[in-house]
Amino acid sequence: MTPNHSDSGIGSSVSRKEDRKVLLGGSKGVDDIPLSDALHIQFIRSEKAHATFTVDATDARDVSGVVAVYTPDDIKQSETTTPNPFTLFSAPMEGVPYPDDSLRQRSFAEDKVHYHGEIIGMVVAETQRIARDALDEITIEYDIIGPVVTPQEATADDAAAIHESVPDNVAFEGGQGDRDLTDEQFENAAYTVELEKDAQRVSPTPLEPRAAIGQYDEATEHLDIIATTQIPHAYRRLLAQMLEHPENKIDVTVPDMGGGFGARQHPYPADVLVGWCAVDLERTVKWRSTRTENQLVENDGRGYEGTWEIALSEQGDILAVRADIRYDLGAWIARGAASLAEAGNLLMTGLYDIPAAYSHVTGIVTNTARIDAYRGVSATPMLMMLERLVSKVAKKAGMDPAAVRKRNFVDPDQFPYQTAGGAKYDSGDYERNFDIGLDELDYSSLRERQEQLREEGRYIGIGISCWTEVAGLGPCGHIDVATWGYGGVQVHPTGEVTVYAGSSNHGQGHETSLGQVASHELGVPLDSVTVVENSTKEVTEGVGTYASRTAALTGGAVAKSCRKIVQKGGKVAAHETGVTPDVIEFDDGTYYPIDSPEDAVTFSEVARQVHMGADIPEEMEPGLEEQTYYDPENCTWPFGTHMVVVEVDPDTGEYDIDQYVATEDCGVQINPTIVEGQIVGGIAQGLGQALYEEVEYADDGTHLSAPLRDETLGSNGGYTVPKAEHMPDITIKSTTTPSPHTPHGAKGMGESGTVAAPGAIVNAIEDAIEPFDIDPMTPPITPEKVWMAINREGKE
Amino acid sequence: MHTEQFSYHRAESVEHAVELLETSDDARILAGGQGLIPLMKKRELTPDALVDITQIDELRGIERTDDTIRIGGLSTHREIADSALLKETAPVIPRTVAHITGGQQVHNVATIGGNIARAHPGYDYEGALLSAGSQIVVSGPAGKQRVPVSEFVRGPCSTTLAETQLVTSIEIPVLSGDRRGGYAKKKEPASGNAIVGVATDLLFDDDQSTLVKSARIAVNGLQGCAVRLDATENKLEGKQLTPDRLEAAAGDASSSLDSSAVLDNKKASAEYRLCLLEPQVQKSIRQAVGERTLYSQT
Repeated sequence: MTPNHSDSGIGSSVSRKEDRKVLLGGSKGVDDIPLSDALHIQFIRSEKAHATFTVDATDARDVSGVVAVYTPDDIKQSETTTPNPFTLFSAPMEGVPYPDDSLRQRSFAEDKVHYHGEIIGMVVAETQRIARDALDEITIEYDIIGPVVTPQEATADDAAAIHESVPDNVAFEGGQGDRDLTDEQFENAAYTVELEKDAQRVSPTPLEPRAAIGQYDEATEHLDIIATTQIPHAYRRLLAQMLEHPENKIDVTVPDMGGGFGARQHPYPADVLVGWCAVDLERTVKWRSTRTENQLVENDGRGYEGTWEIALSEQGDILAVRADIRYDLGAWIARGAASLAEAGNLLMTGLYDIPAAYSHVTGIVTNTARIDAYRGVSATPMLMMLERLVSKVAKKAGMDPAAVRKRNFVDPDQFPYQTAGGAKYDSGDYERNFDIGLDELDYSSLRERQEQLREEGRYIGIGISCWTEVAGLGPCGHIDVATWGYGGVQVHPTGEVTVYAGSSNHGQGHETSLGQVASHELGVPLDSVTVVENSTKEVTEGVGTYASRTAALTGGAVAKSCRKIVQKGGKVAAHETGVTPDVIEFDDGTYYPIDSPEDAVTFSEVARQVHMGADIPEEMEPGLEEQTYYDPENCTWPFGTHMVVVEVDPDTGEYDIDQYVATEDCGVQINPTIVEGQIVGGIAQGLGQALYEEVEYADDGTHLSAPLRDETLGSNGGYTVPKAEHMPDITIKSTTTPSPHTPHGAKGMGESGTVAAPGAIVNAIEDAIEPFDIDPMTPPITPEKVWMAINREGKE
Repeated sequence: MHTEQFSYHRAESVEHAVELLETSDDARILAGGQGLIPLMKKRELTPDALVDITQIDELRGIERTDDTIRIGGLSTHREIADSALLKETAPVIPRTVAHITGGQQVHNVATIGGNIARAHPGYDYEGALLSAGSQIVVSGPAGKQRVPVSEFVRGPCSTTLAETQLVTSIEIPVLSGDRRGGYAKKKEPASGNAIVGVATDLLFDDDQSTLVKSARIAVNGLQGCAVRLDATENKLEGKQLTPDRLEAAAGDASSSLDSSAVLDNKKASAEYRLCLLEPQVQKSIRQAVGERTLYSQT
């Protein structure tokens, strides 16, 4: 059977169904939901990074309109942590005990604060302003303990312990890969390069600050939560554990959410307390963070610092990669933090056939906000460093960086390919993809032009970065939470279709892409498909959206449910036309016996018939509705090449990106326009890491990167999220190497730009200013840094 | 609502606004709100009262009297950028506005009066107003006063404006001849504010002439207040403009400056600001010169 609906099925760049609402301002976030009698929460947050404290809320309780003030004496600390841990991967770091549960964050600080912004209590009032006014009436006495803000400070001999259970501030430490073989390869190498990296914490910065509404009905003991989360069903489960409230008496709805990027992947203490407060007061309560509050405590990304090394043979074969990483965890270990360290190691060899790899990771707690998943996760630092090293070692060996890459790619016939870091890549055709980028740049002519321009005092640079990511995590058992994709499909008696998706759309266009999968499989027009998501009330199950999973896993589940429906419909059509089901064909929404196409029955006729249940095969139940929990064989491993051409003005250090070519391969694309959107958005965040973004803490642990625009005299102007004016024109090309194991060959691809852009851009700038023989640059690379490097260190 | 409580008053006239300012301990003027509201949301400013002047018609409009252009204090960035009169008579002003960050939404509400009253060194108007020889017209209990912009701004975020005064208009002298303007800016990427912004106001006889009758060039963002680049101006004024002379004039930009007063902060070091000055001066002058052809001196 070859189902399809060519106008709107898989592979069609139809306009997004959600665009009209989004573009005309029709989106509704948590704060847009009208509530008649809600109380408003303001959290009492620590102004210090490391201190014991006492709180006096007497005056705040007297403020007119204040309903309740909760300090640590008044709140019941939940038995479980926020969030509770999960342990991970198929290739765990050998012999490493998992971090102690005492390092997992509690809902609030009881007598000691561990980072600036940690929750100490909450004020609940009739209006938001009264709650905010009452905050000013609260007195907190701090007894400061010397804060440790960086991994170096945290591991210094005289560093204060953040948690009693880890007196040295080291939460875990371990290695992954074959250390002896790696060391041996390094000893035998003709060329080696070593490169340092600093932690460069970056903020995911979704456009919508976090918010939550809790509504409690005491008669039914039902708790209704409306919140900014990427994982509605899992959020419900975690809340149920932390609040010790039955899961089937909690519902979670996510309205239109303005981005997540991993930062909304796990509940925060504030989420738990909003739910707790609704139950305690038996009222509707609402919390809406400000931008400042959001940036202060939202999980940051990255935090990897240390030393990365590469070894190359005389002939140009990459022999090994090695990394010694200090991983800044923040004050508490986020839900995925330890596992992210392991995940990075899986793909630390990138797209290359490198026989040996070893990485050692030391997870260190500091007096800062937690670090957790952020688009690109650990692939971003691991592959940025790998790609910088490949370019540097090629140059050291007098070889062309593109040629060394081509020489070392994993060949198409090596798949499935087991990496030295422990991953099993599903499919790839790297060189074909890479060559498209080279052709687009006219690479060899460009290298010649680069030489000529240098004679004229102009400096262009070419940067290359190849990428992959753990997309569509993953087979059950890979980590110890559910990771399947959920997709339910209901066919209405009219032939219209509702898809119930267990993922969470917050900008990715699922209404369209998942609708296209159903349209394709069932042969119905896209307009006849409605996608329901983001609600535990309407969708039976789900694990949310993270790790570039929806196209492969939810899409896969929807496809499988559709195929079950098509099969059931085929039996009805066979019954109707008096043939056996094996001779029934299904094409573009029509069933027909292979030998008598004139006896065709339409899909909607079948749908009506099954619904009525009168004239269907005897053993068959009425109704045309299926659900699938899709457990994939493997993660998917998309790949691609980003190539960047920059020109640097050596007099001012300013640079322009002249060309940006991204050649992507995410297997079969459901909607190429949505794929392009993901690439461009990802590149924006990768460009931010390369050129603009860095979360800053003062020496005393005060968080300094809250405002996106800061007019305070002498400030840095704010935390720089790249804007449209900072973006280059991007040329997008693609190849298609289907995943061999997903139902329609799709791979995930939501993080490609964020993984690839930093390495490509940094390589391009360093390539441009190579004649000045300067030390490696440290991202974010500002023009001033380039200028300083050329004019202070420059040797030409 | 994150602000502290405040009372709100709508002023019907300039006199009424002054009266309202006088009767409150700590009142602030509400015009476009682009500087004020973020500070109030963060409770860095907690005025008792806001005096909304947006309904006062006499604060609107851009018009010419004999020898003066009057820009009403409530004129929005958008109105100024689109003003044919300003493009003709004081082109440095609309040229500058085009560089103010924030996009259309901000340009539609932000006002020139509010911008200059905030006197933030990263804002763009101050240099342009200085180069155009502007006077700030303020009204208060003692009536109307004209203050040259160089005196009006005392330092970063500090002006001579008393608590009971408001900016009512900006006046720019009309010059006869072909007046050209340019503005070039190196932005700090988060705020969009100027690290260095150079405003150029050049006067020629006509649109072919390359003889510079007068040159007024000012830089904002570099120091606490906008400052004229005397050395550059001197190199140009009364001279035939040639590519060499333009470059030489830009090259001299920092020579008349007090380099110890150059801002040195997280947005940019003093050293780097000075490095950016020459290329931005060049760009700004080139923009002002426009299409006219410059010949090398033989």
